[in-house]
Amino acid sequence: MSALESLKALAGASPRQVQARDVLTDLGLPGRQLEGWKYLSLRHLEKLELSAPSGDFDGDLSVYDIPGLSAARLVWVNGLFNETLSDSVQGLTRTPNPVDLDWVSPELDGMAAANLAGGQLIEFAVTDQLVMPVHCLFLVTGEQQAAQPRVQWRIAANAHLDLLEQHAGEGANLVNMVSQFELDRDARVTRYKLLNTQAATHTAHTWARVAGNADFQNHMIDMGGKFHRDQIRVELCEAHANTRLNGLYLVDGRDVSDSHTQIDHCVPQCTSAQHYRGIADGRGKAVFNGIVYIGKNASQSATEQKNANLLLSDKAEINPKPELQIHNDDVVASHGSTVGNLDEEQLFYLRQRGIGETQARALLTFAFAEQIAQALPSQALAEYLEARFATRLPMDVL
Amino acid sequence: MLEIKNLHARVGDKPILKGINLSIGTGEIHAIMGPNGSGKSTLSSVLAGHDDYEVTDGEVIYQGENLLEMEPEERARAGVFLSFQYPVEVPGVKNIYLLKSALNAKRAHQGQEEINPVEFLKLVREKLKLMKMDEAFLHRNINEGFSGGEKKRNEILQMQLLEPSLCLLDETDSGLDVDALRIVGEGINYLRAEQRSFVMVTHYQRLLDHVRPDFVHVLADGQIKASGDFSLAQRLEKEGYEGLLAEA
Repeated sequence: MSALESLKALAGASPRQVQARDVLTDLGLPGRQLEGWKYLSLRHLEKLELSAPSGDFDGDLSVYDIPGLSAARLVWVNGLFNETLSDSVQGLTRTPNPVDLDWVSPELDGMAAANLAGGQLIEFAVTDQLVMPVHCLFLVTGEQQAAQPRVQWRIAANAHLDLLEQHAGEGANLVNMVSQFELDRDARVTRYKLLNTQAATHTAHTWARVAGNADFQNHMIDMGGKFHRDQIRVELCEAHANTRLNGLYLVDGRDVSDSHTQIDHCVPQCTSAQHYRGIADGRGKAVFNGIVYIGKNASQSATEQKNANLLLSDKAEINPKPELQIHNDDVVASHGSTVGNLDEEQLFYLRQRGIGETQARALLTFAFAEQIAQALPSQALAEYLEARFATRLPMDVL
Repeated sequence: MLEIKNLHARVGDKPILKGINLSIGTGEIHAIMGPNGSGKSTLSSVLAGHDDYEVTDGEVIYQGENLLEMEPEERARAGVFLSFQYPVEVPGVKNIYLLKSALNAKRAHQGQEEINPVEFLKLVREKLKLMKMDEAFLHRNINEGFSGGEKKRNEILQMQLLEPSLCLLDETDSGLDVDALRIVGEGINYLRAEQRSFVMVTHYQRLLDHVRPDFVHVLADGQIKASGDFSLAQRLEKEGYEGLLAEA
């Protein structure tokens, strides 16, 4: 059985799931025929028979802790929420029998359809300012399983959520995730998505809707792996909604990292900012596609988008694709995208201070990634990443 | 300390230095003045080893060694320091990291062990105080978001810490207000020593009022057109480059 057939076979029996399965049948798995997938394909999956996920885990969870980050832990094993392994925290409630927000339409692509057809929907409501961050651990164990978490967050007016979403584990499964965030007025969400899986095929759709004066921050950190695709869309729905989307992708070997962002300015007076950076070494391949849509009515919008890429090898590949679609004259918009080598003037400056060329290059490579780590509101996470850079970047001389 | 003989250099196909001859003795302070485009900054960049410039003729002997054959970092470790006209911003690298790495590179070159952290902090604090800089500077990224004056003070701070033998100051006075100019001038004077030489490249006399040079040279069209003592700088201020060069 092919991946497509096995995903269809894993569909649930509710009318919505059956409908989504039919959409999946029509669409098939996404590939180069779709604009958003044109740089890569899921061909490596096509012939794999995927099985239902196993939610068991009896290993040590503390190895996934971030030193210095004290957080309440919620655990999913291969896409299935594990209540026993999860903490409870005041102000955070799991909704019984949740109703799907349905923003990520199955029509988007085959992966969105497969998730709706076969995923397990979990909803959390945040009603207060939580006393500690929430650490959502998505463990990947085993192989050829279809892990399809589907998670909804409803953030009440004035409530705050700091969320670390960590994907970890040595498993070689498909992780096909959907996340939806609903932010009521004056709510704040800071979400860190940390991709630490090497062997898994990871695809994700995230959708956030941000009400008046609310703030949604997303920091996506892809430490590199076989196939990582992260697609996020943020709708700014009422005046003074704000979003920041930052990202860092480090690819080496034959890693693939594919980031797609879309920010919709639907109404006047909203602000958005993006800063994505990537480093490609070996035969690594990365894509950054950033769409900012400013609608006809969205006057006095402000948006900025920065994307910088560092190529460390002739065989590495980076495809930046910034897209600003602006339908209103009264906006402030800027964007810039670069792909290049290390800055020669910076290199000379460091060497003039006596730092050897190899060390100076290593230092500047670190500095390139560090600019995203420095921008993380969590100091603990920034330090954790800085330590991990050493294993992912050519900086062993430092 | 430094012997420059018939130095020619170009950028791309464009010759900039067209036969510079200059001898800098140990402990001497030389000012190199000249109109815009005369080659002043090129000279300091060539001496520091910037590879935008190609040396086409001549030689430079520094403490008995062929300077032009040394890599930029080798020159630095051997005691050649360039205070940049436009100090480069390096986002993502903290100032303190640069200071420590630079100092340890020099110490390694001299066969010394790495400086211990306590001693290092003590030393840096002393230099910060001298340059009237806040300790917060240490934890900011190198020159990122610094004002023009802060960048120049940061250059002199590094110079203080590294205690070079040959200090090349490229337009260190540019972009400084009166107070910053005084602090930078004091910072340079503090380093004046019998075994240390300075080459100050400048367009104006104003830095020279704070740091009195032993010799003044006028550079124009890639050559030194006139040399003298401090009175030459004073004449320049009165007569301008045009008047003086017409006479020469």
